Amino acid sequence: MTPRQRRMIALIAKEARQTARNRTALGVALAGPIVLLLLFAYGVSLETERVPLGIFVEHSTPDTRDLAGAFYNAHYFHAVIMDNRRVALDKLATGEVGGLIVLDEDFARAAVAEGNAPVQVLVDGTDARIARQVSNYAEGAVATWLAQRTLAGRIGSANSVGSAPRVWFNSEIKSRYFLVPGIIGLLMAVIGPLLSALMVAREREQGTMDSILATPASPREFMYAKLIFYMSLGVAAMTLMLLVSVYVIGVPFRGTLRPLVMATMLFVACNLALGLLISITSRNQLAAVQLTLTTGFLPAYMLSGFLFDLRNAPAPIQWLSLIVPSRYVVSILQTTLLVGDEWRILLPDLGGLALLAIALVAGVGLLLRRRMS
Amino acid sequence: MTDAIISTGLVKRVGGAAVIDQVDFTMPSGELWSVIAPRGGGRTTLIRLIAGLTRPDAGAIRIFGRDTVREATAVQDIIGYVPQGVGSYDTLTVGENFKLHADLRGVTPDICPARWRHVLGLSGLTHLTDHRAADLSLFARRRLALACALAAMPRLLLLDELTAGLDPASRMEMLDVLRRLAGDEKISIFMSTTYTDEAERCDGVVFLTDGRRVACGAPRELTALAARRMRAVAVTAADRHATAAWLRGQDGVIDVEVQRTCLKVITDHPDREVPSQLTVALPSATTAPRLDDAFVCLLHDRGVAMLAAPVLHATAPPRPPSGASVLEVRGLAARRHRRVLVHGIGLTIAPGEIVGLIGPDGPGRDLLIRLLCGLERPSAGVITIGGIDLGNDRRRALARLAHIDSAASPYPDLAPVQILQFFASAGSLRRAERESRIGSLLTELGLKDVAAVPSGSLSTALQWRVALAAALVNAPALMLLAAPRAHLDPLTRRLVWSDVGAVAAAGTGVLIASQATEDAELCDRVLLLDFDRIAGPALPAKVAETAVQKRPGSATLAALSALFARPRQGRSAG
Repeated sequence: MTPRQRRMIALIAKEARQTARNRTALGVALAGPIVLLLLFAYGVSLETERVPLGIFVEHSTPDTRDLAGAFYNAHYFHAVIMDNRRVALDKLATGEVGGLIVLDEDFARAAVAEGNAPVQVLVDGTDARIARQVSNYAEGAVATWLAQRTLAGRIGSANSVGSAPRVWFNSEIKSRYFLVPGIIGLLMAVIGPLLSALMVAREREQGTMDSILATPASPREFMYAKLIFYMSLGVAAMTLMLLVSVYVIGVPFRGTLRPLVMATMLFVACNLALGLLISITSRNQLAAVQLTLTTGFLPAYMLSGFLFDLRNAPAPIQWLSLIVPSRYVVSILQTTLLVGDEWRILLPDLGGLALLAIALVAGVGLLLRRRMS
Repeated sequence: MTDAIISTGLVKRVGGAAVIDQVDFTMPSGELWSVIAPRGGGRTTLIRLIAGLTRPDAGAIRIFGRDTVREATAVQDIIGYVPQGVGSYDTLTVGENFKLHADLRGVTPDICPARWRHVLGLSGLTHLTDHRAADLSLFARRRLALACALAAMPRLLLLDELTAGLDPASRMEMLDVLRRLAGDEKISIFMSTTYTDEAERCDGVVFLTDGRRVACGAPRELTALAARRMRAVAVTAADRHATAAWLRGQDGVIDVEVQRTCLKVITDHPDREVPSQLTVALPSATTAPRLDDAFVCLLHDRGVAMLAAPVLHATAPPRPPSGASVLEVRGLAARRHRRVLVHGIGLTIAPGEIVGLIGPDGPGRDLLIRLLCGLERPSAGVITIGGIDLGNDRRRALARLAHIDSAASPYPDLAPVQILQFFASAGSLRRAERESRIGSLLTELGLKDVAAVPSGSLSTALQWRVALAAALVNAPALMLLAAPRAHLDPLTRRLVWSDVGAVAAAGTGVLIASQATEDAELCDRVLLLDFDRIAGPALPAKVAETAVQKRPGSATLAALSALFARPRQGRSAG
């Protein structure tokens, strides 16, 4: 064994001992992600379910009763049937109902006579997201109802061309399946840098870093020993989260392990190196935490495509997102979990992630050399 | 034999400003040297430069003939370095911490056990190897850091404030260890410290101010320099502040230290005579020249003037009824974590009296101060501040108390006038009264010219004045001052004491908590606190405390030294 190898082993063993005895670090690294993952997966939903919906029926006929029944049975809505226009509009105004389906005199008449029944859908636009979904669902429901009527031959064939939507990759359109990969990326983007940044800031504050650096161990050995040890911890955390996603939350796993393992290693390396960069530049633990949140969490939250689709973003924002590691990992996770090994997506993402990892790890070495001289 | 350290034309700049400016000195092999400097004076930078942790911008350092930059690896093999702070890993045991350093320094396992026993024996940690570092007392942690630095038996040991925060007995014990290392093991030692009593026990001293070398040499030579310019004047307790104020105004007087029965005067020239109307005091232990005095002379000769002692006319607190006390404590007892830490404390402070709370740092003293500040409730006893019972009317009682726990500005980002306005707004003074009081405080404490400057950028001395002004702004009856000595340079330390004298002369009672035995002589009365030092939370320790109230004098000093020197329970563990 060369002296350098012996030093690296001593330093890595030191990190392992410290972490094994530090319940806070273990909690942050392992228990925290699982709790947060479950909390996010079951607590955050982008779906609209049981939206209160008013149905105003001016003149009750078998047709109106049939259509109202269709809404009544849909689990997206909690339908209330009303026959007073003023009361119905009032409820929409006060937000008691999120939308209002108006089946007036014309509907009853036209549905039978002309085959294209006018249905008025009023939507409370305060929450744009819910409004759009209510209107889409409502229109879909009316169209389906009409189509069924056509097939049943009870009205004319005016609307005989219908669409039959089929959803691929997430057939139940559960937003949870789509969110989980994003949450994993987000959590690692916070926990990774936080772990490494805090540990170095702590060493600096307590003077232990200086006492190590005054030995033959070089700053680079000191940092890379940390990187190697926390890599294993980070990979363990990410593996745990993936296991929980697939076996507890029930996210499908359609790909293979290979791209997943590569992505995990590269992503963890990126985040830890980012943490080390932060810790080299920040003076104390508090500054390290603040910097971690602004450089790790916020970009991962906004620029990873986790919540906000990047394709809709202006071009400069899209370019900016290229240097956010989470962006690649969210895409890779979504692909391997929901689609399968689609290398046309995975290769560029893995490539981008690898470039970032190399740049960040090299940055640590470079910044260290500059700081020390 | 080659010299241990040769520093030539050493310069280190940080952001354009020179932190170390043209520092030359030569430390012979096998000696124990110290660098002493005010806060921000360049101590740590100098030690880091010698350790090769940072590169000089100009000049060079040679360690046993090797250049710290060009032969960095060779230098790192022969030095041991203890940084500021605890310097060892909390969650690792004593043994694991030591082994880490041994591994990093390539001390092979086969010779390690022998080295292990030897070094632990030197630092006195043999029976603590399986304890976690976090469970050790500060003193034991510092010895652990020392042991780690000794792992490969370096030829040069660099110690950055190894004794900071330790009580006097522990500090002297540490110095004994260092002296033995230098003597028996032939290890050269270069250490930084803020304590001049430690520097006095070294073979050589480098004194820095603003990164420049003010003096360098054997402590005895430096002290001898001052001895010829020092005079002692006999006074009585009643007239001493007035006499001191008069003396300070005389030609050629640089500094007057007010002791209980005499004034220690430093003049600008060996030929200055004591004014004829004063009586020369007999030489005694307390009037003997110290290294401190030498630094005052040296700084004065370099044009570093001390701030003038203030006279607090306009800002004196309201006269209390005659015979009233500013602080009265009866039968005080309190516990923390079910351990009785304070009991049987009785104390009375009259207006204008300076009382010292002298004893080693410890949880008991800490608790006592928190009790007086109303931050914790006693389990028994009464505290009356300015005639108001703290237990009955906490708010009004605390309005009569000012607490200074650090000689630095309380809000470095704010200007003195903003700080005073903030503290005044918490008090009961009316707006107009407040403004005029702030104005006179700024004038009387010499802060008028810097009233609008961010206080963090001021000198140590002016920052102390800001802290003092903030304490005085609400005209307290009692001023509580904690550890005024720590981390201050000799000049500021003297300034603190002369200011405290002025505060007392204006009628405020002053209670000073200090671990320095020398401070006892500067007080009217002292309360000796005897806290058993504890080894740390994991080790069993009984903490008891007794308080003795005495008039200072040679008997007190003897009692004090006995108190500090007495072997205590738990000492062997800690």
